[in-house]
Amino acid sequence: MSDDKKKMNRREAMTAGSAFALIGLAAAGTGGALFKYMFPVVSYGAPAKFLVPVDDLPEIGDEIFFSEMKTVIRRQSETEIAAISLVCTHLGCTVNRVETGFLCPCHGSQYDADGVVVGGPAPAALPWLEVKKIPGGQLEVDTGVTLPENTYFSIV
Amino acid sequence: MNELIESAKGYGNKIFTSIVKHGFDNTGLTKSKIMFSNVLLHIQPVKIHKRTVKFKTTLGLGLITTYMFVALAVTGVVLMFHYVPSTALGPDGLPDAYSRMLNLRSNVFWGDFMRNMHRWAAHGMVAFVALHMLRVYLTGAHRGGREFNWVIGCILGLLTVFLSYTGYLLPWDQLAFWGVKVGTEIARLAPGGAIIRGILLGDGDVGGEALIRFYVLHVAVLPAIMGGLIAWHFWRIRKDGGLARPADTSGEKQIPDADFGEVRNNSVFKSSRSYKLVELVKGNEPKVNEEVDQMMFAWPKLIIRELLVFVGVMVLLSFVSVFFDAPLEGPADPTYPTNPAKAPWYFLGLQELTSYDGFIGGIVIPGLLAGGVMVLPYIEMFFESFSKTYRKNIPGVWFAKERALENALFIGMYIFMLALIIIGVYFRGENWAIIYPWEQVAGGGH
Repeated sequence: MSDDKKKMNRREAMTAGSAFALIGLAAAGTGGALFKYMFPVVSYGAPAKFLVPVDDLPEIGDEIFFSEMKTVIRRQSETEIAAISLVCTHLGCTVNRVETGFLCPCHGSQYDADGVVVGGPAPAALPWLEVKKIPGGQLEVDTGVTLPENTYFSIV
Repeated sequence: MNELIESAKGYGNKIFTSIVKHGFDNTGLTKSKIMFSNVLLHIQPVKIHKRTVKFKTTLGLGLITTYMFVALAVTGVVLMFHYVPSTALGPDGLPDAYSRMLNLRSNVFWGDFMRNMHRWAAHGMVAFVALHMLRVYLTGAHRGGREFNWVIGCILGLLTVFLSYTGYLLPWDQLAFWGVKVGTEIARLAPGGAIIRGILLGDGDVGGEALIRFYVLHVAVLPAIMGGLIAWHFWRIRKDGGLARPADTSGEKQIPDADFGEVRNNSVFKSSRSYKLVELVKGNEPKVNEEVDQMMFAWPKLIIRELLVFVGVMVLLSFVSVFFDAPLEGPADPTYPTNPAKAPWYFLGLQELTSYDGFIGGIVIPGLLAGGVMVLPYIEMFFESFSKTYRKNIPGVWFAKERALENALFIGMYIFMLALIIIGVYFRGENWAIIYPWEQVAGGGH
């Protein structure tokens, strides 16, 4: 009898064990389903690529800004252009163009004019983007591709 | 005619006594009945230690935090009648959520006041949670069987911060958009953070989906969890033996009995002291010791004091809300943040830390601090169990000499966080450059 007081007998242990196991199983299943339910399936975000007509390109040595796409397009020479992302590699704020390069207003990352980190917490240089010449006198800039600095593309 | 009046009186009395089943006389029995026959009062004990009502025991900080939560729940529900969690652009070219803010500020009667009150109470709650935690630690009230309640309290503190965070997304202004943008980018740095970020945002980036998710978290999920944990927190206070106090309080100066008026004994036990035996506990002897002399009825002294604190909190909140408008920046611009882009003050310490390094400042240090503080009583226990140096705990005593080291470390942590916040608020300017406070420009920061 004293043993009974201390622990369950086998039958009780089996019953309690199966009850808890069933509840646990149901909870795990529900949790997993809920996780999947919450996980995003469609993206409503902005597209990663955009088009620029060749006629709109800046003068040699000049830049134009595409704020909506957070990109600056820079013309090196008659035939060479590059696109640089304005998204800070630290925590995703949009950097401001200043005389010395780019500065981030959120945590003070500093980049030089080529997007190379010169100060602040940014872990990497600003990504240079891929530019493709497509038919119809247009250029396609892909903001989803990260290239090393000074990657210029020919537009002829 | 008289008979009619008598009947009416009797009928009225019957209705009243069906609702309020006790009198209001000065006997111990009535004072007990008032406490346990009232649904709002019965979560508190009938008798409490006299220390409980002394201001210096708690400074009322936990109570003030609770009242802030009540104010937030009420004003929050009121605001929901005028809010739409949508980023769709209205005819004025502004996102719906943002134009609802403008509507509250300019058109809706009392809308401005309600919004101000909700925002200031949120700021106040964060501050008072921090102060309450400091009080609990410095009085050693997290020990002596109360260790787990400290853990619950820490979770409540984190929930408070998360509720503030989800709340300031809702106006869909610049602060909201860039706060969530940066916050979820920090989350991405944590192990498995990309998944958490995806679940929070419901999309690849901050947008309309994020607003709906944060809205549901803010108005339903988090407050429900918070309410449950608050109940647990309170329940544990009672189960852990009331407010922390030293084992022997006979030497302390207490409020004299004369201040409580005369308590007549109308119990069936006519001996002069028997009414003080309010509970039976298992054991070989009844729980009668010198402590019984230091117990008092919670009604009316404690309850009135609690009501006074409530009135004080509400008056203060109302004053602040009448004279100071809750901040509202320009509508969310996903292209450019404000310059500087500053979080609310309670996140500026974190922002300052992340401005040195994203992962260490955004994940490692805050994670270690939050996790370490949460299990602090168990860390103390660990050292006591495994090292020969036994440090005596005196719960309920401010700045106990025996705990000088622990207290100094804890205060040091608060000073560290406060210093970071002060740097973030006053010494950071355009492009997060170090500036003097008088060079501060408008834009960002609250």
